[in-house]
Amino acid sequence: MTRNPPREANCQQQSTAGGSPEPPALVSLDDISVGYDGHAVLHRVSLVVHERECLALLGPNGSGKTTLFKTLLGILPPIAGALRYHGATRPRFGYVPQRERLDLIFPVTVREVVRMGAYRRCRPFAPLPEASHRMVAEALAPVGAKGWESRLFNELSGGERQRVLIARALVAQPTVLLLDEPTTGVDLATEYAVIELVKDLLRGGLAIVMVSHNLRTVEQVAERVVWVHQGQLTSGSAADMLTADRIRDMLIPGSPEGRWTR
Amino acid sequence: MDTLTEILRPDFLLRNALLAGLVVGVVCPWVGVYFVLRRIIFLGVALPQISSAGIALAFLLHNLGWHFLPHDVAERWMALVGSLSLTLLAILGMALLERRPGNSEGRIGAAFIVAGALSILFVAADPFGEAHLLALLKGDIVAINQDTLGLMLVVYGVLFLILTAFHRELLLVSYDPEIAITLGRSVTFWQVVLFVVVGINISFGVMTVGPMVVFGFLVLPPLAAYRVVRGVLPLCFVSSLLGVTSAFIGFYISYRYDLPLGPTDVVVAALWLVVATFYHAGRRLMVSPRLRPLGDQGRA
Repeated sequence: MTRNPPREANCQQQSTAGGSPEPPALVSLDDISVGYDGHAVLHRVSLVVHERECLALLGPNGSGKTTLFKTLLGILPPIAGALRYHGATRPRFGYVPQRERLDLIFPVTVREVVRMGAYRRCRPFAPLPEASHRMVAEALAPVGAKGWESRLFNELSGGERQRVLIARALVAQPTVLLLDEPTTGVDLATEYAVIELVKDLLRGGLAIVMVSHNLRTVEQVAERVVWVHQGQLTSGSAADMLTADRIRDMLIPGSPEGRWTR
Repeated sequence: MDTLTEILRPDFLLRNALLAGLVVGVVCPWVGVYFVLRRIIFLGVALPQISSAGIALAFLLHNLGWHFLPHDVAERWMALVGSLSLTLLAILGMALLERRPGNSEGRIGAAFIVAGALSILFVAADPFGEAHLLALLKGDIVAINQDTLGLMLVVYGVLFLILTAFHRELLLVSYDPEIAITLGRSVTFWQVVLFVVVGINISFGVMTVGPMVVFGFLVLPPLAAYRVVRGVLPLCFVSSLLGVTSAFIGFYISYRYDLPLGPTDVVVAALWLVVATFYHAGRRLMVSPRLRPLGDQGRA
């Protein structure tokens, strides 16, 4: 194990074989501390997300994966350190939150949910930029939700909601897609569809960051894995980070967080 | 039929009251959709009460010599300043405390009962015109004059414009604030916009048509519409439609049978809720798999 270069000074990183040049960085967290009400969950950690890579964040519940996610998105400002966007403008983020977080009292239709992804480009009273029916249909088709526009979001199953939320993220035409536990609690068909979709999106040039408890999903799509553990990050190639020893070391014995699927 | 013809005549004596009811019937339910969906209905009861306390406080201070407005300012303006100040202050306080741990329903309940008690105490302590003040506190829709109606049309017109023009932003920050931030929207700014719209809506409503009608129209039409529509924008439109029809039918019944207008409006709005509930229950029975013939169950 080697210490990181200064860019990721506090993120322990496994050396990777090869030595091919890394793709350009999109967004980076530089020596940040982040948490809630002044209490840091993550202490002086650094992380870089590169173009066209799939990065998975793993760790027990409460370790700070979602906190890291929210910091990348700019939802949670760091207590110390800096969030930097490389390039001329802030990258366009597509965010798929944990679906349980959305209040099902809202009688939103699938069409309304997916359209939300395009709100970035909307002015008051103005119609949505593209022909909105076509835009929604085109976002729903690749996630296997064709023809669902008029269905109520709160009447869908968990897996179906996941597909719709991914469609919403894609409508935002993101350069970085962040998926928060995309395959947790979904059936095998949805899990397979999500994995295939992620592979397609990677081939299309998107950068993807995902939080997952599902090692089967991570193994199939992630090139790089970051373990979030005891307020620190340890990163490396998926092959190095997903060994049985590593997984055992990172989990707290006897905790309910130890229920990993494989 | 004669009554209807009379009501619709341009020179109808109570035309201002009818129009005021219709305006409130359009805007209050649209605002109320956010109360229902954000699960803050009880705040809709508390805020009109707080608004009433603001009116009573403004008059008390004025009559005790605290002239924060020019002496010749009309009573309605004074009432408006008092109502608006306390309502916006309360909304701000609730918004700040919303993210704090604790029982937010308890806070709203406490605010409601304290505001009610203070209203009575402020009126009792006022050395002038208790009866006159009571009329302002409960709103007097029948006594609305041309100036007040004009002001209402402007204010509620602007509120309606904000609600429709920025429906996307208001929905987004209410439904999924994190996505709003991701899409470059300021959640704090749009929350403030929504709260200010709520505050102005309630302050004006309490002063003109009274707290009962305001709360009735904030809650009953959206609850009724919720049972029959799909989608948030249709919910807003249908709520407004039910509100305005409640206002009109309520006015007709009140005028025809010489009943108090406010309570009649509320009962009509409640009847829409009953109808919508039966419709919803009927529709559920129709599509319930248990009631379909066995052979149909696998076809869906």
